[in-house]
Amino acid sequence: MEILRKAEIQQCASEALEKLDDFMAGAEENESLEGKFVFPEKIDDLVVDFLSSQKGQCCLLEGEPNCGRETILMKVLKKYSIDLRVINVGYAAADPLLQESLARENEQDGEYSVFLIRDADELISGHQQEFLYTMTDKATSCSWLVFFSISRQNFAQNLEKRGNSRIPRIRVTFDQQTPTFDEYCTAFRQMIIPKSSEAEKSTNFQGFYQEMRSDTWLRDFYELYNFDGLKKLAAMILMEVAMGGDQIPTQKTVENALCSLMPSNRKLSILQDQTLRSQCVFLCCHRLCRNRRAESEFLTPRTTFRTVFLEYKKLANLHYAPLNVNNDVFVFREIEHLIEIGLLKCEKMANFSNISFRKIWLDMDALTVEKSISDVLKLPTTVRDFFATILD
Amino acid sequence: MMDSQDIIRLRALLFNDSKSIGHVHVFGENGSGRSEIIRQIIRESDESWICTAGDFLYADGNMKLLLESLAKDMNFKTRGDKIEEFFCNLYESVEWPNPKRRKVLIFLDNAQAVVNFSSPILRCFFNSYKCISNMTVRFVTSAPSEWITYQTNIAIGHSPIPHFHIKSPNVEQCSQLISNALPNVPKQFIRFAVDLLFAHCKSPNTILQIISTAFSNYGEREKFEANRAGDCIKKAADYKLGLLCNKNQESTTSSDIIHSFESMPTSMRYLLVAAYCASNNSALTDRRFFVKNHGRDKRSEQKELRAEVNRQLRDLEPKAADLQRIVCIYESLVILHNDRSIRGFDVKNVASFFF
Repeated sequence: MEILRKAEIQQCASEALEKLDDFMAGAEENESLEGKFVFPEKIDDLVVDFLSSQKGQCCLLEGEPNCGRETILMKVLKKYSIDLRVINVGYAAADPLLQESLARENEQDGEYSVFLIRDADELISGHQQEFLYTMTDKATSCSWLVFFSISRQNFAQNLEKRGNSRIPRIRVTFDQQTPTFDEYCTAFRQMIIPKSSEAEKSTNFQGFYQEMRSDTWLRDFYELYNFDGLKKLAAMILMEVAMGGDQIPTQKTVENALCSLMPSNRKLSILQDQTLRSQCVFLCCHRLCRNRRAESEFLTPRTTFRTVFLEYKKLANLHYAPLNVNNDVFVFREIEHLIEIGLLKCEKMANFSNISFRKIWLDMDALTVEKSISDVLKLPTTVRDFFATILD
Repeated sequence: MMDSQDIIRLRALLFNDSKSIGHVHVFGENGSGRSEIIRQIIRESDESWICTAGDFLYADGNMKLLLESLAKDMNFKTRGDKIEEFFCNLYESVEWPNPKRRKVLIFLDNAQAVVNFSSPILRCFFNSYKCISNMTVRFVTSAPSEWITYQTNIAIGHSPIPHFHIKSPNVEQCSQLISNALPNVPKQFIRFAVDLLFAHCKSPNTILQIISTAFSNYGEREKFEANRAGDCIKKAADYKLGLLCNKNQESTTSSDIIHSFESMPTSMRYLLVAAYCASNNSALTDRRFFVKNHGRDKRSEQKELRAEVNRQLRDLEPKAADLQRIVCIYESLVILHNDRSIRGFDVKNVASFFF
């Protein structure tokens, strides 16, 4: 019975996972969301106009990164089986020949093309505006339909005047007004249980969805990410369920998926992985920076390589002899390692002849560190006491 | 080192068909076998995927080099650093197991080196496959720390990248691994050594090296002698980890340094003294090294002493000195002591002394 149930859930999950690829949160025809999202039709109209009149046109696609600008555009173009030519701005900047070849190309063949300029925000910087002029001029002189994909609202204001005058007046805003939490939950449900699928009929799978109790933990996620992040989360959960081997999906599977996307505890787990020695070096740094006054209001409290070494020596000599080292090099090496993995930060450009006086500071939430001392890190008792006592 | 459930999860993460998961980042401490685990999983990959591996550290900020190494791995040719062209060529020239669903996994090791690439180029690299609709591309990166440590200019609310954490091995797993590798070393010795070293080093490879050196010094014994074993291990670990366990060792290390100074070649000793002089005195006072009687003949001794005190107050710490200054002071020191036989070397040799 259990096995059957598990198989059914896995079956449904993999089906849902397949359907997820085509799912567009917000763009779906949906009763609760209807009327809010009209951009596919707008683009559709533009393309139809263009096809009938063959008149060159430019258009801005405004929206946050990963809100589905390209996906919708591609879908619309696919409907009319038109090829899309995509240009990355970063790439165009790296290759000066590209702009030239584009400028020359259109005079030879009179056929129409549709362009998408990705990351057009970066066209703002002075010498790259040239590229914008080329594209807008060519669009009118021959039959080009050019889409600029941008994410900044003030794109036009930051351009020079000659750029500003050429900036397309047509714009499609993909501004999914930040969804409410209820909309977010509905979208999540739709991702897990897609419409007209096996999953919709399966009571077992519905039961699994209930067991997830998504409303309890989804809020944290909602505060961090938009629909695109949510889609990834749904994909992770479905993937864990569908390919989870012979284990029955539980709350734990969901936690795993959530954990791999939420950035909250990664630093702590990295710290846990360190050797006792480098944990102690890190905590020495924490102990020195904690409750200290910063040099100015814009700086976090800092300490130096040398003070950390002295503090570490104090710990080793007075409290826990096995940690002792015979040279400061070894402590400095640990500090550098901690900087590499991003737990500590250090002054960059200062040209020090002597490494001991370089400034370092913590790149991790001090409260989390504080809490971790007593339980998560499993330190020897004397070491724990050393770090738990507060300096005045 | 990882339990089977974790391996299944990682495999599912790497080889699922969802297009939403375009980039997976695996992180874990160096020496915990992070990349090796991924390689093993990829080796046993299912047939429908094409897998390839590249290395950010090898490419060293050069996109052309990275693309070429990936292309070579998949047996097709790409020219230059054109990322779009690369994905186009990839789409067209590779022999796909199933041309209807083209799936490729690109494993990129040492992702900590992405800091050497400029961010527009990287963004282009990770996104430009999206315009080819009939191809699934999954990037798998591997680095000691989370992705955001290396790519700091990601905006808040940027879509999350799935992370997978590979834990470093614990004491039991580590000693198990080592006793597999060294079958003739008694388990008791290994366990003792791992317990001793684990606070300082968690990498099984490093511990393995130390144990094999230590055991050859320790030799076969009938009964386990903890003191002797401890000494052997500490001695073997000294160079790599700098352990210090009893206090009288401290005095020996400082005498080691003096001893080592005496054992240096004469020219090297002169050079060290010259470097010391150059870095502890300002260049303005260098004159005294090159004139007779230290240039002191016109000043009274008292005046000189006062000047010396002032100098010391000003320059508390040594500063970086020009190599040229050091060499000049060295030469004059050698002339002063009439040791002509060791004069005349080129700057390259000097530099090799320092490193």
